[in-house]
Amino acid sequence: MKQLRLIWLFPLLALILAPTISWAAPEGGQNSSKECAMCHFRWMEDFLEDKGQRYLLEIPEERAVSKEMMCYSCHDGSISDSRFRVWETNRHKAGVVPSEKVTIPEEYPLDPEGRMQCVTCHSAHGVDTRITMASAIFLREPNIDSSICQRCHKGKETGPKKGNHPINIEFKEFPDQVIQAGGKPGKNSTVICESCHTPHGSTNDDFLIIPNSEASLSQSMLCEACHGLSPDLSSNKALRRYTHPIDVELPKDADLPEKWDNGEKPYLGQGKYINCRTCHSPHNGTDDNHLLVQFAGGDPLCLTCHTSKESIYYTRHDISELFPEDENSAGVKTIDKGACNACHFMHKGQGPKMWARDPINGSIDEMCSNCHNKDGIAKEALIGDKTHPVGSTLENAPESLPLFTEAGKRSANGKVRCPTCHDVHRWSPDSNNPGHPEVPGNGNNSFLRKSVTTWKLCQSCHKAQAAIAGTKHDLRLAAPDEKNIKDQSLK
Amino acid sequence: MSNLTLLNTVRATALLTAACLLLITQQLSAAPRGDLLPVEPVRVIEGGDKLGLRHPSNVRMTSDNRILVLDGVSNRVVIYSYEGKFQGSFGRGGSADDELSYPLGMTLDAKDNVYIADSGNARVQIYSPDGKHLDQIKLPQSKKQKRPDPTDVAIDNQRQLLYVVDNENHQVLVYSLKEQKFIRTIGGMSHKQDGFRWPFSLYIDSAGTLYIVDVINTRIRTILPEEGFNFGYDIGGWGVEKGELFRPKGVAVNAKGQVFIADSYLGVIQMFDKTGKFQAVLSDGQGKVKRFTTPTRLYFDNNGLFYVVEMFANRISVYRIAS
Repeated sequence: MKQLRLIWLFPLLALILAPTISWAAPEGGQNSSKECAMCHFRWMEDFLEDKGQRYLLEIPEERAVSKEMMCYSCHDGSISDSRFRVWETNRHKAGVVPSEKVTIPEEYPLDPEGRMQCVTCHSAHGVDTRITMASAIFLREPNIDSSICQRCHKGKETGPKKGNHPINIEFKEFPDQVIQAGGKPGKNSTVICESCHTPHGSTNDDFLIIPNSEASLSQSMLCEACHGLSPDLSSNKALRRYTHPIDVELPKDADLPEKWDNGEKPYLGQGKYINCRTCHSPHNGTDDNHLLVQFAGGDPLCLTCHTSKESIYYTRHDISELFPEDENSAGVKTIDKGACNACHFMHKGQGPKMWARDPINGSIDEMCSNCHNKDGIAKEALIGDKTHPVGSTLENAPESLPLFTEAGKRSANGKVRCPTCHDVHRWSPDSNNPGHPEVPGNGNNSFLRKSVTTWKLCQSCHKAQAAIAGTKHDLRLAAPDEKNIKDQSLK
Repeated sequence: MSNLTLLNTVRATALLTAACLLLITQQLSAAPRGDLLPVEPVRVIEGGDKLGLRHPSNVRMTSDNRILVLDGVSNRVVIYSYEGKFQGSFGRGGSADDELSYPLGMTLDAKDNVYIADSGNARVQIYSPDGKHLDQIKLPQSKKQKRPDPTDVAIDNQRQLLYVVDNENHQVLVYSLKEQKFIRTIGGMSHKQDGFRWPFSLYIDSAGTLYIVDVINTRIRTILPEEGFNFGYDIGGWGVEKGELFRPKGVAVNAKGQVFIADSYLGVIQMFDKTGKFQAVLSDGQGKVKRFTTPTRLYFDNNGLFYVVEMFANRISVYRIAS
């Protein structure tokens, strides 16, 4: 039929071109118009006259070429096999109208409905392949250090000050784990978009090259590939630095907000596990704040999970309030980062409690003495020479009072330490008594876990000594008005 | 008669001729479309377990009436009952001796042993009918050539030949079936009569004629083993009209020797006679051309039912073709 439709041209063409035409095309000869029309099917002579439906082909109204099915017609294994990498993975969006978050350059075509298609980023023509075939072929321009990504995803390169993960940072050695997973370094071994993301071939959320929610392994594998399992963990025991634990369940008393300050819903991994992404958002962090999901200091974020520690506010241990100019070991003023950061770092802290105070040489007791010394901010609350011994073990340790390792971790086999009797986050065992910095403490508060006045604290360990009750040595009965050397009476 | 008058007469005659021919052509275009061959849907084979089918690439029937589907992206063979009920699978992804990497082609020998074109591993894998790995054939590779890319296999039981298509090197490899001894290559990259451009699928008819889908040359080539593996006639040709091919992918031949060719982009299947002459386009029974979703491979089972591998739709559609 095609031949019939064109037959009316023959008399005219024959008259004009008869002397020059060679009708005998080489058998099976290569036809340049065919090569083009392998994709540009509308350039076939069948379509010269009309735009209606062909016998074998339903012609879409729009003239887009590289829609998905055209690409698939070669990338299904018959020419190149992209079945898994492109069509069975979390591939870059196509066939949808771009969201307001991206800006599509004018030279990156959309289809007539304004949707992205394969052709938006890819083209078989006019591509500068100076870089490498792998990085340039079939893309609309050379993709230098993920420059194509940044053409549309503007603002993602602005760095931590604008809440984005930094790029173009040089690595001495680009992590093998990232390369093995398909992540690409930029020139000079720098971090680029494609170090973490891949537009095709990812089986993970957000087109990540490594899963960040794999429960059987770490749920922060991608972050750890560069940032390490425990950043800056030194072989020198005294200098060991610790980071906030991940891959742990969210505490039962955690009180997550519906949305963080950055507008995102709180992210938890499988099994409601905390991972890096729970507190940090690589592209939506609050400005200049370590990509954290919450504004301001660490307190609001910390207290989301550590709800009971809120009791430290308005006590003498609320250092950020009482001593706003005091600095932690990183030189950060307590007023800038809040009460929690006055004593703890989230990362690179010393010891399992991630201390942010010096000097710490292993013992939690020295942590207390950092403030409670004659030159410290707690110089009015010195421990004194005559004080209850610490460092002793207990054969029958009471369950109600914790024991601690030297590094400060709770342990049933630990020793008596300052926080065995003191809860540094709570002024009084009576939760209705938040205390006040200007009100002197006594045996019923002073951060004690139990009341001394009522003997509850002492009797927890010294059970035998409780036999003194009711005897002539029970000064509550024998001499209730007597005072000790600190001028304290039993009244 | 002046020269001017003569010229005007010639012009008028030419225009009149052209107008008449145009009118005739339009009348022909508006004529009812014939050449339609209705198909009746029988069943659809898809899914069955959590994975489902992921870009299946081939289908075959065993002598005990099981249907095997090569589930390309999941690197396995899925077994169905003849009625399409899921019965299990074998094979897993990887590069170890018994593993598969995005396989594309599959066929069976007379004992139902399964031969798979293990594309990603550049080899042919051989499994027993119950899925036990038996052997492998690594495709030869020379420095002058690209890494072999087997995309289909075919077995000529009568002549005890195994054909493997090496898509990336534009050739067909011939092996002895029993000893798996390499015999020769056929073709090479060419847009002329001596080769292929990205050959993809194979099919052998009852006479032993090998049909090769020559994708970018948009034709089906035939090879006649009795004639020194010379090329026979070609079917198709470039275009989007009846008898033409735009993106040919699958080919199958029925018991009558009629050749069916799937065009994955156009979504149609055409039938040609033994000489390569266009016969019909499969239709939906309503007088309309039947549109398939990326028909990629075709197969006639032992009972004459027609299988269409709709790769992108992740299913195998089974039809009965009107006699």
